[in-house]
Amino acid sequence: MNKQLIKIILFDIKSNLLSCLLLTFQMIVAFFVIGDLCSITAYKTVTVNALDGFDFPKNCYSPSNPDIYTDGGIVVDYDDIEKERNLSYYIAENYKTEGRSEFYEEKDGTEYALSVITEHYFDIFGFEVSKGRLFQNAEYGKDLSDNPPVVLGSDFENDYSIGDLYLDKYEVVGILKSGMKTTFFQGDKSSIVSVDDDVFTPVMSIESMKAQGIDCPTSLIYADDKSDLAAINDYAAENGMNTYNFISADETRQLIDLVSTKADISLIVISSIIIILAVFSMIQSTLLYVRKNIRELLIHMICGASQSDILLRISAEVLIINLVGVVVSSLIFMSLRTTLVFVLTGIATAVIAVVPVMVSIKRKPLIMQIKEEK
Amino acid sequence: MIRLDNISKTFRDGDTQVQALKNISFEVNKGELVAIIGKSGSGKSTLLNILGLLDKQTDGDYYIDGKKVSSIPEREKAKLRNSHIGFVMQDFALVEKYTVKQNINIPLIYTDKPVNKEKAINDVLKSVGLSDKTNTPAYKLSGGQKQRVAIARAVVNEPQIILADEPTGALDSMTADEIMQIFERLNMSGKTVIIVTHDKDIAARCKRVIELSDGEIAKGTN
Repeated sequence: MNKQLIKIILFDIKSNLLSCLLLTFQMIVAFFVIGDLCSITAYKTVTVNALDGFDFPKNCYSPSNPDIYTDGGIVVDYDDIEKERNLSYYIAENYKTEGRSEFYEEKDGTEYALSVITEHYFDIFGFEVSKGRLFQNAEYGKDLSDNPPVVLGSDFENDYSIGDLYLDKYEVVGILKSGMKTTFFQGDKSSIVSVDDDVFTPVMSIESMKAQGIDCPTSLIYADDKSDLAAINDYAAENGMNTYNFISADETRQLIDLVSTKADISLIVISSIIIILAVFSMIQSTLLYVRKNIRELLIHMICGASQSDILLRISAEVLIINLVGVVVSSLIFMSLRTTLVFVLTGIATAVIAVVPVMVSIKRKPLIMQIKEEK
Repeated sequence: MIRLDNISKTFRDGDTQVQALKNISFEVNKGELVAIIGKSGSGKSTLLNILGLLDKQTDGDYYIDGKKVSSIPEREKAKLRNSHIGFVMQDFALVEKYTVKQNINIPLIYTDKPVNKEKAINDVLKSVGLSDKTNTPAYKLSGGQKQRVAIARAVVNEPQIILADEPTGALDSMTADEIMQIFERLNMSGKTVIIVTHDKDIAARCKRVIELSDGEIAKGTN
């Protein structure tokens, strides 16, 4: 492409500034939507099932209710938290459970969160220590002692050594390796959470938990048969509380897969429709742009421009407009990942948008088209 | 210079085939000033488009300087159009948003010849008396001025053939006369000029007249 033609292209863009700005705006919106959808779709595709990789007992069920928010297994109703707590005691007294529940210790006016965990909690999530040890079986279910043991998340590694007292009360027996993760059970919305800044202590006797007002952990409840759990819903109903669907870890895992697959498919469908619409819109805009300038293109042809010169010019102009769209969209997002998506979709759509013009010119020479215009 | 051998042109108009040109044969020698006349729909513009390599005949052969150009590739036709042919159209065919200089520059964008573009543009502008309008946008010019710019553009690349399609059709008689004088000067300088017109006065100023009727030559092949 010679210097003169580049000048003409830039002059064309300048003299069609309004059309170009509108087209660029259209590109920005299209890239914005395309980029966003691609990012979400990519994120959804790489996101793992929150229950994968963990070894849940087969005969355990999670109290779940898809319509209401659950916290650590039982439904939270903050207006009547005492009822919920009593339900957790009822479950703990009548069933064997697994899980964690939080409580708070106050020191110097600040509240510090600790988690009581059940006997197999560390095994289920495969926790390992970088220093010290995990809890011993004998440390679970005991009455509150003077210095209960705690295992700290890796964030505490530089501040505490084995044998130190956490909050002047809890004896540090182990520090977890960095990157340990657990699952927060919430049915299909279950999520993976890091425990690097958590503090764990073994579940105490129910009497001690009651005395301190700590919820018993009820994320998973052991039962030979799901029907054995009916008494929990009877208790809840008698006390005017929400009832639950009990689902096993495997069922929860399948539920998450099903929901995320549906989400992926619908995202892909929506993305595809929007991308197709955006591309069609760009093709339409390109054709309108050519139609608007067809007389000028013909004048160039009678002065010696070949069809390939004209195509080159249209392609270059559309690419420049796309490029502006890409740059502006990238500046709005300020992200390398989205910029890459924009650049790729920008080039691809520009190329696709030029194809119908090319086909149209090849099929019917511009001179014929201008005659029809007349 | 130009030779047409049995040129025919048929095109489809809906379901019907229309024969715009039927076995047209004639020669135009270098330096001739030829008028092609005929009624509306007689095939004049179709013939001019074929002569200008803008359209393709259905049958027959077309030669320029002894070279058969009727079947050369599109890209070569564009080059030939650029180097050998200058067009002047009834509606001036100027890009209205371009300045006079930018309009005249168009053929020079596509030329392979080494040309001093500034000098070439200034020379042709001087020859048509528009040196003071170099940077004026085309839309600000009068009809006569526009046609002079179109002629300047047609000759800036020094082609041997000038094809004019109703060049005075949109002009008053005084301006038309001025434009014809320019064509006559060009012809006297050695250019081959072919003018399509339905104006008998314009045709009378040409050295030779070819009359078309219903796509056939009615008069004046030689």
